[in-house]
Amino acid sequence: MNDTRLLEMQARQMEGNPLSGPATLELEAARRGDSHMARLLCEDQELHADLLVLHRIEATGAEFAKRCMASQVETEPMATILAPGLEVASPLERLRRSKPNRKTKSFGRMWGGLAAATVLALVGFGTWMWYPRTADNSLSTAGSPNREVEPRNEQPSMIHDGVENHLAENEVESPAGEAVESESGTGVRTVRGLAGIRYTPESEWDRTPADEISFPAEYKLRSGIAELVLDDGTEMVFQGPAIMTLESPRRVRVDEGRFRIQPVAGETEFSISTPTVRLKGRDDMLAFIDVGTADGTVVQIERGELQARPWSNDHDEELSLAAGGMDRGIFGPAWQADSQQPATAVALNEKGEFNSLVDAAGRPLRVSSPTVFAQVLDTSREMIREDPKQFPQQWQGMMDNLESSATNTDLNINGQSVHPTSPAEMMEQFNRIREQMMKGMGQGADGNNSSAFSGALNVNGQEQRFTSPEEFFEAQQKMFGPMFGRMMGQMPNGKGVLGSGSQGMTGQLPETNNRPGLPSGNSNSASAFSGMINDNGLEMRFTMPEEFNRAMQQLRMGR
Amino acid sequence: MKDSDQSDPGPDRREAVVLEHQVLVRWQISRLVFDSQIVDDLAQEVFVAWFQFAEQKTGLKLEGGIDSTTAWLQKVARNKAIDWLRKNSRQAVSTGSMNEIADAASIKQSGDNASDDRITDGEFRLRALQHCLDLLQPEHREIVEEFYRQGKSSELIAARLGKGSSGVRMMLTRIRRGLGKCIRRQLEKKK
Repeated sequence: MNDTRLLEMQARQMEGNPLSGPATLELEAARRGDSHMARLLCEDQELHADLLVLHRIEATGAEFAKRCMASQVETEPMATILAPGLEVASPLERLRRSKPNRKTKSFGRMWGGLAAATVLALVGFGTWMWYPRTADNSLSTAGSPNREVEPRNEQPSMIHDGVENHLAENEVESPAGEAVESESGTGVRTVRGLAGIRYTPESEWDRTPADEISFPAEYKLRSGIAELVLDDGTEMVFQGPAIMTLESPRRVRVDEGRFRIQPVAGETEFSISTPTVRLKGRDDMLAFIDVGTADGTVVQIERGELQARPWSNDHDEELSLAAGGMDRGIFGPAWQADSQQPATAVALNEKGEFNSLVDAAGRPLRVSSPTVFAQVLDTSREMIREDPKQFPQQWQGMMDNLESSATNTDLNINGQSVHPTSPAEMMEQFNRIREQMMKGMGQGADGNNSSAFSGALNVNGQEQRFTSPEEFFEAQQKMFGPMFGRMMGQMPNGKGVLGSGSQGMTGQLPETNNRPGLPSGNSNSASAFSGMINDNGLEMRFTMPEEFNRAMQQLRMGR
Repeated sequence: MKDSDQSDPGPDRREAVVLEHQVLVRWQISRLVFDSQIVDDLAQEVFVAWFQFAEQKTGLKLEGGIDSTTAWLQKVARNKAIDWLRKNSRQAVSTGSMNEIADAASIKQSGDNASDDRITDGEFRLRALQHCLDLLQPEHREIVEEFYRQGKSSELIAARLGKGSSGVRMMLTRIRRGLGKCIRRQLEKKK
């Protein structure tokens, strides 16, 4: 049954339909996890990709052959096909004039939906793994005087020379180091900070780029691919439709489109702004940025690191993105009064490490596990649906409670104490307790061992004692409010759902590595989440937050 | 696929070579690189290389003793794709492809001649898939055609069939599973 559901979920994703965050996480975990399921999913992906490719290449075979032959009517030296599809634009006009026979060979037709579906299918987190066209077509090398140009298989010297010639001409026209930032208050200052811009011949611009930059310089590319190289070696490749504004040599705003941005190291931080996030970095870096996806801005760091400040500068919360660390960021739109869910900003990587900010009403909450993230988001959506006007106030109330009590909370269960030091840590610890309780319930064999559970929750000097999981959740709700209670597993009516022995559910807190009775382990790992609910003999197993939520839903509906 | 003579008698012959081999060349690249634009660009480079090679070395056998255009094109296509991947190491690749790349890379390092057997795998999978598609029941074949060739959504297909879109997605999943089994059987037979 679960196999079918996951396969259907993957099929939806492969067709290009975005999945919710929790569903994506669940699917990704399944791909990485159980070998049978992972194999089924992978084989299905592979066949899907094979079928897409086969039908596509069959369907476009004649067209391909025609273009291929058209490009070969006159055999040209390899150097001139160094950058197929890239036309030399106005700043390099002199270079073009010097090569009257230069031809372009554009295979610019984009594959559209099917290709997107393939990529989605193959990478799992579809939109997080966007890679624009680069490299072999010299997009990534042409504007970098200091970077080594790798020779290709055939006639490398000619290709290499082609790049060098290109650069040499531009260096004469626009010497490095001349670019300076515009002076505020004195009008726009024209500088020659542009080493070169070139674009595919089918590119359409709102206004053809000039060969000089007047900061701020806006580029609106309706279609095609363009590469812009600054004097300092900073490179930007973008795919239309794209809107980019160079506010200074070290500051760029991208409002739409897909970008490959490769600034060079400098004393001044390089800043990239999008409608949903501001990114800053100092060292050599390479970032792919997709603005305007269904999820907001998607960032992938290939080299270097960036500090991401989502939504606005109103708060100091940042997320770090770094190659080799949390190298992907997904930055949704800012919270609005009519939002259907809180604003989200997520940093993560393929290893499952996770960090996020969830914001409503300008009060961001840091969440460092996907499980808690899913809980916070699901509960918030529910509460917004129930009473959208009340939600901001409830969120603020919860944040007030968490911030005022996070460092003054002492939780003691079965003689073991927990002292969180921040709201994020508090949520993590309470969630771990809940997970372990769920797990323990599944392990409880005698049908009534909740009596082993007791302790006290002390917040800001106020103490609530409990002798059962149900009382623990009631205490938790009393101390931190109904929203926190729901996020941490409470029933809407305030009754504890996890430890209600009187309802036939059983459970106990298991012994853990170093803290008997308290959970431990890597809170960043979604795979650590597993357990079982036994409700009057009906077992519901879960290995993912989604399954847990579903089990909870069934419990609620069943009562 | 028939092997073609490598000599270069002119544009007509060139076009015939492109038409005859383009599916295989693009398939070979597509197994490693998924951006169709890049696939086409790399495929074009493969044919450009072949034209030049044929022009300059008419009739000359390749160093590994492969004198067929098919094998030559596959080999260059594969190497082009691998080179591209090396330069774009984070490019998304299909399940299993990373191993394949690693294999191919090691093969390449240990000598190009050794890759002859591997080269045929891609072609064989293509042929097996085509064969298995032919074995599909007509109604299943039609769904595959609609979904993959015509790019219809599962909703559209569902409307035609009077089913739900989830049902169509699951039907496609089952068809793919069947094709997978069929391809495996073909591979077994080959062994």
